[in-house]
Amino acid sequence: MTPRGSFAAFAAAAAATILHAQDPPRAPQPFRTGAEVVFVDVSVRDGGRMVTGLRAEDFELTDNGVRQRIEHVEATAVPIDLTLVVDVSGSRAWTARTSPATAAARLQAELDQVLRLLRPEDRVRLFAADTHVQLVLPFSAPAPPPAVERLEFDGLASLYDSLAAALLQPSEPARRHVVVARTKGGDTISAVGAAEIQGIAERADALFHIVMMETEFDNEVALRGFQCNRDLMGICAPTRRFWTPFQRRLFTGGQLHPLTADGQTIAAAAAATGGALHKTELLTEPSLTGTFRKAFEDFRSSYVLRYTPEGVTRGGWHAIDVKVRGPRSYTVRSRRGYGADEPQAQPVPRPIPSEPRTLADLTAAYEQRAYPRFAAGLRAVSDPVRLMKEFEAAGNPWPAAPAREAVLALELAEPAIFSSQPAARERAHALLARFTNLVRDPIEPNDFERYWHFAVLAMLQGSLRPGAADPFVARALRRFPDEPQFALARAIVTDQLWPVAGRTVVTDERGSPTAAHVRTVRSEYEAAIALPEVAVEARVRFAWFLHRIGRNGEAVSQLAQAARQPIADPALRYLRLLFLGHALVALDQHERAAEAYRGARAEVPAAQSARVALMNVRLLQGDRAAAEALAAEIETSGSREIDPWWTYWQGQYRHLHVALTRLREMTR
Amino acid sequence: MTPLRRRAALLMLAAGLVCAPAGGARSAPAQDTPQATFRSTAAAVMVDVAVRDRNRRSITGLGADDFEVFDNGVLQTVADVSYGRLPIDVTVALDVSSSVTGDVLKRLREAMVQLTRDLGRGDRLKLVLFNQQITRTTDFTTDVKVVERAVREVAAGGSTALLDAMSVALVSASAPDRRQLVMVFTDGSDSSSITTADMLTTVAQRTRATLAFVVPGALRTITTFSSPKSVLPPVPITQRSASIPQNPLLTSLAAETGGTVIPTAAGVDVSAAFRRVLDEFRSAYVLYYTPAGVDRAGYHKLDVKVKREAVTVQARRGYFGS
Repeated sequence: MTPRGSFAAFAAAAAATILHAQDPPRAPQPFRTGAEVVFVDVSVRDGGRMVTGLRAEDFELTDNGVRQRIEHVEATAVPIDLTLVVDVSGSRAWTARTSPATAAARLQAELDQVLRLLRPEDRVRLFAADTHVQLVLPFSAPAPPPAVERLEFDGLASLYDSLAAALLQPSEPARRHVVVARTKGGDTISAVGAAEIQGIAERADALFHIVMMETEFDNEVALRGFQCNRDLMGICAPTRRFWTPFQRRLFTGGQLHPLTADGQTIAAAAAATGGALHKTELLTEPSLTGTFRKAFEDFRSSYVLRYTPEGVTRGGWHAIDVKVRGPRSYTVRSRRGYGADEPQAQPVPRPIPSEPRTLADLTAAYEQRAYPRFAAGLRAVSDPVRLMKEFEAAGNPWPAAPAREAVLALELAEPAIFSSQPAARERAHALLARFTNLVRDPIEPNDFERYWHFAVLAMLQGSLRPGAADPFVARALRRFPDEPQFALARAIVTDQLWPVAGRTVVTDERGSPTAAHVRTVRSEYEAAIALPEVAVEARVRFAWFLHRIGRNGEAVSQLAQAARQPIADPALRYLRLLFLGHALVALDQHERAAEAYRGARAEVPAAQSARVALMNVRLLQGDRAAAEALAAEIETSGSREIDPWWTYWQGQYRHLHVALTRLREMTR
Repeated sequence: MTPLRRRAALLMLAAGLVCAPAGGARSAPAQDTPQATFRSTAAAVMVDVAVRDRNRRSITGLGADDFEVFDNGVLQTVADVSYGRLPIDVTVALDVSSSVTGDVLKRLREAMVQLTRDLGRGDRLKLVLFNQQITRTTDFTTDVKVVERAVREVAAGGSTALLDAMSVALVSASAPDRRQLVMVFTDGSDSSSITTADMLTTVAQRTRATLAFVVPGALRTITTFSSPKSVLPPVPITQRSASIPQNPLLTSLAAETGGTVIPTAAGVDVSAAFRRVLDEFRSAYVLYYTPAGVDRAGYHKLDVKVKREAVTVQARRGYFGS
């Protein structure tokens, strides 16, 4: 399911079960070399021929020198996720001679060759390393052939950052990850270095191959110690290379393309995963296809051994040695080891009071998933500004989990968002704005960020402060221009301006909305109506707006169109009928209105608003007995159920609980 | 009860309205004083009329010949007049949204108990609480202990469905043989009603009760939301009313039904305001006439005059004939 698809499904589920959490998503498997079980890819060759048909007893595996029992051998071809990293950084001379379109076309040609090697179940992803890490192509199936639509360069080299981004991709269960990177061997601006890449590679569950590329265009850069970028205020940064360029060798003599210390580290990183560093030939450019073909054949035909480490301590580096019983001519290739974290002693959980008031208690409740107590504590917060100040001063309680901190920030901001104190609200909005920037995935918008925006927008709509919500809607749409829920949020927030902001903003001296406001609301609702995922809600809300400006015939038409498809959300079904009743009353169609109100009652029997509306129209019809009976019903109902009408103006606020639950699950 | 009065009572089907007369004619401004009680049926109409002198004191001792009633502009014959004889049903609707807290809530509890004690013989009191939800806490009773028990448990929170609450209170105040007063304690803000102002005006014209408002001045500016302490979701805004006492809707509804709007300053004795509303409602004449020369159906505009100099007459503006 695509991110957009999954989000739409979420929104539908949220609408159907407003106050119930969804099932938690399947957890990703970041490192298959986990605490209990280790998976090792092993390829066995006999000369140029892959050796097949081996069983567990044919292998000997030692972990830090201790022989292990192989529990399972899998030889089936599993789907492959291929990440290609292409270095497009470099000299001004090269970039001057090469347009982005030309470079993209060349890359597309190479990609097309790689795609022909893949099977339908495989996926490919493409990074370009320049000043920034560019995700040129997210994981895509090989067919239909994905296109390289945009490629930017003319910058410094962020090679190591790009490698880190590629290697940190969590492996999905039952898929295997191959990273093939082609580099010019220079790095100028990365936040991480070769040593960090080695550490990441050792812990990553990816086969890592790196290809050295040296072209004539880059030699002039290689000969300089710095690279500069005009777009970054002329910043120049020292070039870190991991091999000695060809022309420099001409001056110095010695080995062809000797590796620097960084180069040796990168080579070791590749070897640790079972991959390799592939050296450049004399001013030639090794092809991605050739390198990948070699790696792919090995990888696709390899065995996956599974064992549970015994007789070794868990933490630290685990050297792996795999042998195959049989002819000595067999060549065995596997990763050389893996890194495992020391088991952490579990701290004694902090006791949580029934109504936590302090930041420490609230954080403890949150950490221990005591969410009802966390919520009770939040409701009791008397000084929301102080709470936020303490939170910001304390820093992230989970340094390794910034996304979790962001969700906690969102939840802690809620009392201030709903505060009557402007200073508290402003601080909360600033906090949310800060974290909205922090949750941005530097490579591409991801599902967490999408849910984050949704939760923020839901909360701000609930606070009925459209002025404050407006910039957050704009940010969400900039990041996710195709997200239907955000298009709906756009329209709702604008619609809120009339009843909330009132005459000073969008109404004339008579209190009627200005023509400009009507046009804006109409166009935004119509944009949302064009999106099937939110069309029904957009129509229902647009109809209510039309009724309020006296266009009742059009309102009835919108509500009729909304009913042409099944409406999963009972609240929407209720509101549709309630609003239909009001539009019909305005059209003096009292009996049809009464029928609509009765329909609304059937949808949400305990809701008060439909009863009141039906009582009123019965009185208009002269049926006093029915009206009095309804009045008695209303007065004695005693229902604690939330009437969908009561939260109508709060827009998507009804989804906040589900959105927060989802965010909590995503950040555990 | 005279034969005419008995017949009128039997014929009254629930289309009447009530206004409270200004008993002591104390210091209330003339436009705030409810004065007339009205009931209409297919055959007979009963209308409450308060008559005051220049000093806002009730004028007593008037007879049928002293009144002129115009129904849709047609002079009617007043068949009978009574004064202070019909029992009163008082529906008290209290706004207990999140804006009503602390000391105000305490004073409200005391005022309710006192109001029950102030009821006359045969009078009854019903208590309806509303935030976004409308709840009848006590049905019509004369038992002070029942009211005491009910108000003791009053807790504030949530948003406000003022217009819905008024509509329900007007419709349910329907006992045909009693005068109906609906007394609303509210700041005039509404955030959760499905009933529109136009619809509420229509309901007020088609029901019997007189609407009187006691408005706590300290609570005028409720425009936003409850804190998350509320068990209910934060407050949505659906309609906004201007500040009291300039709230045009409350003023209009009071005038339409012959009622009043009594603003109270912060810290004022709410009991006194409640008592004033009740006293004024109690001290009104009830006129009976059978409409002649007008169509029965539709809206009937009423105009009541007294053949005396320097008096103020207050009655509802009209009624719907069925």
